[in-house]
Amino acid sequence: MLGSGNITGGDLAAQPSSEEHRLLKRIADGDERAFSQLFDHHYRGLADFVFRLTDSLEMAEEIVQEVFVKVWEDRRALGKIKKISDYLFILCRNRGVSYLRQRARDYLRLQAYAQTELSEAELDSHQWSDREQLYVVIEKAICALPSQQQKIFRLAKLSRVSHAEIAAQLNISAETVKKHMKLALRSVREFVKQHEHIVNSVPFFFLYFLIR
Amino acid sequence: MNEDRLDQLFSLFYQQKASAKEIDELFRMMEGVPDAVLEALAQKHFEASKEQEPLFPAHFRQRIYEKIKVGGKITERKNLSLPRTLRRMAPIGWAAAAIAAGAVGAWLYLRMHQPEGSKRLATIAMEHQRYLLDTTGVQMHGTADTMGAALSGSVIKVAELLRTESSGYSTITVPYGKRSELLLPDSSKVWLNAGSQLTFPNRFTADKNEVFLVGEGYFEVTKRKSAPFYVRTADMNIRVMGTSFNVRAYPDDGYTSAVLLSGRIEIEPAERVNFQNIAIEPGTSAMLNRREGKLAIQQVTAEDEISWTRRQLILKNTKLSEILTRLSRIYNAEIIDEVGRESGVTFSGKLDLSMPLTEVLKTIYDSNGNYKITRKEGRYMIVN
Repeated sequence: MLGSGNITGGDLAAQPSSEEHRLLKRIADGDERAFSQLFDHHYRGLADFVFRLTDSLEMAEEIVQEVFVKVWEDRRALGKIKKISDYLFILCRNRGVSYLRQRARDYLRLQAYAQTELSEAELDSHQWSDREQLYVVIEKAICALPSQQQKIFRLAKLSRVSHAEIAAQLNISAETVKKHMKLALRSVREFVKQHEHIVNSVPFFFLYFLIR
Repeated sequence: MNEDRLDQLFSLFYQQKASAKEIDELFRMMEGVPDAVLEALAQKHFEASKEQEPLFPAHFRQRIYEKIKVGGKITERKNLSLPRTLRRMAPIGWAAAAIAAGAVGAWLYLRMHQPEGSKRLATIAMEHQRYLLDTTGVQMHGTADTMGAALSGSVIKVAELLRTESSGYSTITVPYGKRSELLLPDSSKVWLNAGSQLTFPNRFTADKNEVFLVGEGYFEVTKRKSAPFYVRTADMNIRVMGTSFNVRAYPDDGYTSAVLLSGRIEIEPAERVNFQNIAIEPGTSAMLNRREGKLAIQQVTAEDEISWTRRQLILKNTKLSEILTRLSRIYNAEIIDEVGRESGVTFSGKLDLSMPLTEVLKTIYDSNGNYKITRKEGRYMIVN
C-alpha cells in the first residue's frame, strides 16, 4: 500500500547531530568550505535519485543545482532545519515529481496532437512496430535537451505559448527564445533521426510538429 | 486506479528498464494520481535502492558545483590560500623535450563529400551508452543478444566472441575503474581506457572497417592495401591506413583529440561539425575544442599520451584539474579538491597507476606539508 508521503515521522525527526549542527552554523555564517562539504556529502545520492525519478540527466543536474543554490541563498535560515538530509530530499523529490508530471502531461499532449493532425489512415500507413514507441522517442528527445531549451520548447510546442509570452515569462529577449528554439529543434530532430530504425519511418507528423 | 500496477510501472521506470509501452501506460495512469501518492512512491523506491550502484555518473560533480557557484554567487574565498606548493614528482629523463605548441607540418586538403555511414554506427553506440553507467565488469553487448557475458582474461579476442553468421554491430563496454585490451578480427589491436565504449561491425570486411569510440582508446591498426579503417567519434572521424594512434573522446570533456604515433591518419569532421580535413604526422595531436568547434594541431610527445596503456600517466605541464578528472575515471572514485582544481597549477612527472589511488595522490600532494588526504565513503578529499 502506498503511504501518504509524510516524511516527518519516526526516527527521521531525530535531533540533528551536533556535528551537523556545527556544519550548518558555519554555512549560515557564509563559510563556502562548509557548504562544499555539505554538497559533497549529499549530492550524489540526490542526483541519482532525481536521475532515476525523471530519467533525465539534464534535469537531475538542474534540480540538484537549484536545490543547493536555494540552500546557499537561504543559508541564514538553516538553523531552523531539523534534519538537512530530509530537507534536501524533499526539495528534490517535489521538484522531481513535478517534472515527471510535466513529462506525462506533455506526452499526452503530443499524442493528442498527432491524432488530431493526422488521419487514422496516415497513422497506420507508417507501420510503426509500436505507435507508443514513436511518441516515447520524441518525448525522450525533448527530455534530453538542456534545461533552459527544454523549458522553452515545452512551452512553445506543447503548451502553445507564443514566443513573445515565453520571453516575458522567462525574462529573456524574444531573440534568445528564437535562438533556443532553433537549437532545440535541431537536437530533437537529430535525436529522433538517430532512432529512426526503431520507429521504422519518422512520419510527416513529426516534421509537421517541428515546423509549425 | 490500480495501485499495484502503478507501483510496478513506477518501479520499472525508476530502474530505467521500462519499455515504450510501459512508459506510455505509466504516463497515462499518472493523470489521475495525486501528488502525495507519487511522492510516496518516489520515497519508497529511493529508500529501496539506496544500496544499489548509482546510475548517476560520479564525474558530473564538478559540473554541478560550478553551476551552483554561479547560480548561488559564491565568491567568498577569504579562508583559502592560493596557490599552494606541490611536491615535485620524480624527474623524467627526457624532460628536455619542449612541448612548444603551434602549427606544424601538417597539410590541408578538402574533400568533396563527407564519409557516409557514421550514423548507423553512432545509433548503435548511443543505445549502449547507458551500460557505461551500470556495468561493473567489461561487457559485450551484441545485436545477436547472446553476448551479455562478462569478459575476462588479459586480451579479449573479438573474433572468438563473434558468431560467424551474424551481421549488425556489437559494443564492448569498459566501465570506470577498468581497462581492457582487444584484438579485432583483422588483427588490429585496441586498448580501451576506463569509462570507454567501442562499437564495431560483427563482420569485418575487406572494403570497410569502422568502429565507433566513446571514451579513450589507443589503436594499432594493421596495414591495409585497399580500403581505410575508420575510427569514428561523436565529432571527429579518423581515417586510417595502418598506423598507431590514441583517441580521446569522453563526452564530459571539453575536447576530442587524436595523437599519432606512427604512420599517417586523416582527421575528418563528423556530421554537424565543421572543420577542414587534415592529415597529421607522427608526434602531433589534433585537438577539437568542442565549444568553439576549432581544431588545433600541436606537437606532443606521443609516447606520453599512451602511457595509460602501460598503467602509467606521464604528465607534462598538465593541469591538476585534468589529472584529477583522469584519475577519477581510472580509479572510478571521486576526488575532491575544489581549490586545487581551480588553481591552474600544472604538473610534470610520472604517476604509477598500478598503485592504490591514495598512494598516487600522495605523489601529487605533499603529505608532509599542509595536505591531508582523507577517504570517506569512496570519496577522496584533499584538505589543507
